[in-house]
Amino acid sequence: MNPNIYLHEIIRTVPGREEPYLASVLSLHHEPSRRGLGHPAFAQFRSVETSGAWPVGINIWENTWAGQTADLVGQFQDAQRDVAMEEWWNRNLHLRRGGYDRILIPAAYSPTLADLEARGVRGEVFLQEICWLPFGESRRYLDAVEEQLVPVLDRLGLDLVGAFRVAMRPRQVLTIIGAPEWNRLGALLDQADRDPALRRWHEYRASTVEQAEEQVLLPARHGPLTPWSGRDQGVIRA
Amino acid sequence: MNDCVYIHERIPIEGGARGRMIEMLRTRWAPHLEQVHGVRMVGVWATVGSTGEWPEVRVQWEMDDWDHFARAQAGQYPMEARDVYLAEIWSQALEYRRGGHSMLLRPASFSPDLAAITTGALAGEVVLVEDVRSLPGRMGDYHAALAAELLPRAEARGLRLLGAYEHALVPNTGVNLWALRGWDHWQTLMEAEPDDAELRAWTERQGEWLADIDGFLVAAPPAEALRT
Repeated sequence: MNPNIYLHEIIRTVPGREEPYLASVLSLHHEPSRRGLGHPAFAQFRSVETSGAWPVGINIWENTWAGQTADLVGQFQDAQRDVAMEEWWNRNLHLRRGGYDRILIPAAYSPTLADLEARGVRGEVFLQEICWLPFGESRRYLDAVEEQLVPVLDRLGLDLVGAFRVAMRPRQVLTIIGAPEWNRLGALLDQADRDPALRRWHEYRASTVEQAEEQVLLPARHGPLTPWSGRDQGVIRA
Repeated sequence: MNDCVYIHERIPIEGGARGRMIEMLRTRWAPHLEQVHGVRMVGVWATVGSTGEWPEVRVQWEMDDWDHFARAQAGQYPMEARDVYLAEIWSQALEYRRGGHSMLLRPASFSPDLAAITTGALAGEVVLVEDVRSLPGRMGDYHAALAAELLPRAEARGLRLLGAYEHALVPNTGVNLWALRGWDHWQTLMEAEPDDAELRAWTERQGEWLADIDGFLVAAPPAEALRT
């Protein structure tokens, strides 16, 4: 059982400034006045010109409803200002133009950050999918991910990074798959029609998904899932 | 019966000017529109970026009826010729915003007008906005079901309906506004959501009338509180 919620941010970065923006977010961790505050970065990604919209950066923060509410109180009520965050926001306008956020509710089997760290999950490439489903289908879809897709991922050496419903948006689900190397993502796509279990999964998807946004992503250089050195897993406040 | 007409504006913000745009709308734009054109501001809110598009401001205006709508619009536009003050603040606001998107809305019969919102103290610091797309021709049925089935359940959970509207020009498009008691109330609702079988049944039933519904929060910050 995963008891957390996740703030998922898609940031429209200034072209070419994806990594500086993502590093800038992490720099808040090192702000002396904010040390010890906040919640951990679950994942950070940047777009790649393989599939999906670009340029974007993606932050995902692991939190609780109580923590998320406290963050919003800090943003919108004068009594509990987060001055360092306000100054950071206004200092970094040259790195980003805007964004679109969702609050994600994990399926029971969706891993926590601690689960990912314990399993040593890292990836050269990730596949994020946001699906629009018929009303009432989102929980069944996530059940199907667990029953049909996850065993295939295990067999092909890929990782389920997350499987979520979207708060206040009942038709949407969001899933993220990690591939340690690009050739494992290639194998997953190559097997789509040939592997019987994968074919069954894709038949279900094709009959159920009404709209989808697919995005191939790279791990941010300093994010928790990067396979490269120099990553910073510090606790930071979104 | 509510015969009013509404304009709901979505305003993407330039940089960190969200708070300044809200202050301008509150202190200059709204008093001017009400004093000169009789147009009332229902609310001005910052979109809560953690739940949707950012940075963004939302503002909603109320007019008595379509006659008032026509008079008020004719009195304002073209603003360079008819309303020199509006033209000036519109230009000044270019520092805060470059464009936007407006929806011309007519209320469902049970939707409260601003007078009823004020009398009933319905408004709150946090508002749940729902962008609604109905199946072709089903918005009326959706509103009937909303009034008969959802409204009592929502009120039992502390939500207050600020408005349920359909687009006057674009078919099968609408907006709902629900006031929450505050941030703690939102937290309570979200924590209860996975186990709330009654609301889950309603959510799944919406497919009878709706193609989609997207919810997100907007907030009315205290004066000069918002510095981003």
